[in-house]
Amino acid sequence: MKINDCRPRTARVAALLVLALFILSGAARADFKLVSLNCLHLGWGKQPYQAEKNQDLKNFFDGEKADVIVLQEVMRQADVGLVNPGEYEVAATPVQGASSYKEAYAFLVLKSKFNLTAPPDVVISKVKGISRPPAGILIKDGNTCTWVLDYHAIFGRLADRRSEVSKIGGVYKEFKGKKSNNVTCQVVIAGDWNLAANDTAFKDAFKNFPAVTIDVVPDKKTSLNPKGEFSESYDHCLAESGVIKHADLLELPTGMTNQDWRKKISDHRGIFCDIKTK
Amino acid sequence: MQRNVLLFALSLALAASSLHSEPVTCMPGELGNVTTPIAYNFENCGKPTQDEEQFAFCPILGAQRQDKSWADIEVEKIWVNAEGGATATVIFTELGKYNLFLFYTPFVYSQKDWEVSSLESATIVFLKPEIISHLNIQVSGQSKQPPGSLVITFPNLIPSVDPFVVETSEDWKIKVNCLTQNFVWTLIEDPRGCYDRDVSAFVKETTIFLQPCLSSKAPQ
Repeated sequence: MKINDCRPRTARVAALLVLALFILSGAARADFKLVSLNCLHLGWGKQPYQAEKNQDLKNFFDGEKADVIVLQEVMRQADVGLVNPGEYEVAATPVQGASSYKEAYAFLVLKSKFNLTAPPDVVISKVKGISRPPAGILIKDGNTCTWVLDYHAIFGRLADRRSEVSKIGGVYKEFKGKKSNNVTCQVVIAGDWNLAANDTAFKDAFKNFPAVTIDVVPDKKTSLNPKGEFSESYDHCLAESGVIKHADLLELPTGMTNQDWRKKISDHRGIFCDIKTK
Repeated sequence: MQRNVLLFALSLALAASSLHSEPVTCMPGELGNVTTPIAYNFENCGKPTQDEEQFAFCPILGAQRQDKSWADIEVEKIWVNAEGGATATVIFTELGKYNLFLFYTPFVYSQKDWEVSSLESATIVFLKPEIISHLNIQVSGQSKQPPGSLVITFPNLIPSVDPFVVETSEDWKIKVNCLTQNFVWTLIEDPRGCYDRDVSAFVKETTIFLQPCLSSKAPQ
């Protein structure tokens, strides 16, 4: 009798466990790893520097297993396909900038993660007064959606940098307003901000949106000086509090030092942000 | 159209008139028809050291509005000779008066006032830049400093362009060869002190003193 009573209960527990695992695995699948890298004039430079840099980046991205990669300082001459380990869809903006010096933003999105069969559409912000307006792609997985934006702030004087970054609140609102199947998507802006995460410009950017609390992470030095030493805290992801689970610098490839990275790849270390989807 | 061709021919002739070498044609960010950096040979200072990753490829052109903001322009081509005489074809998106800056290296530029009365492609001739031969900068700080060189950042006047970042000698000296500006905007952010000011280039030797860093700039 007890055995008979037990069987249905065991089956129910097992069924619940399977259901819980299914839900959990679904949630885990929806969350994604976002990588951001200012790749120092990708497409410029003499050979063999350029070919070796493309190959190193391709190997690096292959090892990172990121779901979405955003790149800054992609020059007109760059072939982003050369840094694609193969399993990503690649999309890019036209080059932008208020002088003859122009850069593009590029996106690599893992096909298998998001069932992509074509490169995602790239939408450029219409907010005025930003030299290289941020550009975004819509990441959809099941019922969740996230706008992932790529951004590289101007350098210039500190006041100019702050003035530009303070316009990012408008960009955030602009993309927040773009619904997908009547669902409001979360917004993550990643890139090289040329300002530290604790700079007043980030607060100023959202002063007109008091209901929005933001996180700017990581708050660590990411740029490298000519000696290959850490210099400034410039690379961050920005999102509403709770969206970024964890953020940090990417590990260097095995055997590579900061000095090697500076010489061969970039004056910025890459960052990653683990994004939680609703 | 015919007028444009004539203007173009005239501007090429003007740019070439003072040449000792053939002009190089380049697209912004490209090597143009050469496989090595443009070998500038500026008056007063010979061959400058360049940031090969940036300005060596093609001069960078920026258009500043009268309110000091920077306009979105499309530069189709630039012809430039070793002395810095240049001709650029530019498409403006707004009418108005502009102050144009053509940067050859992080410190050398040619400047021109320009009024846009039509949004057709404009052909603009730049005279060779006026050059100050050199500026020696000596950085000075507290008497007891940890040894080692300093890193100095020179932001560009055109804010969309990356700054030029160099390292001083162990005794904190740096020599800028060839410059146009009568000042050099200098940025130092170091645990041993900070500096964020224009340095006059009228004098050829100058000493700057590190200041305590503001809290927002305190190196970590």
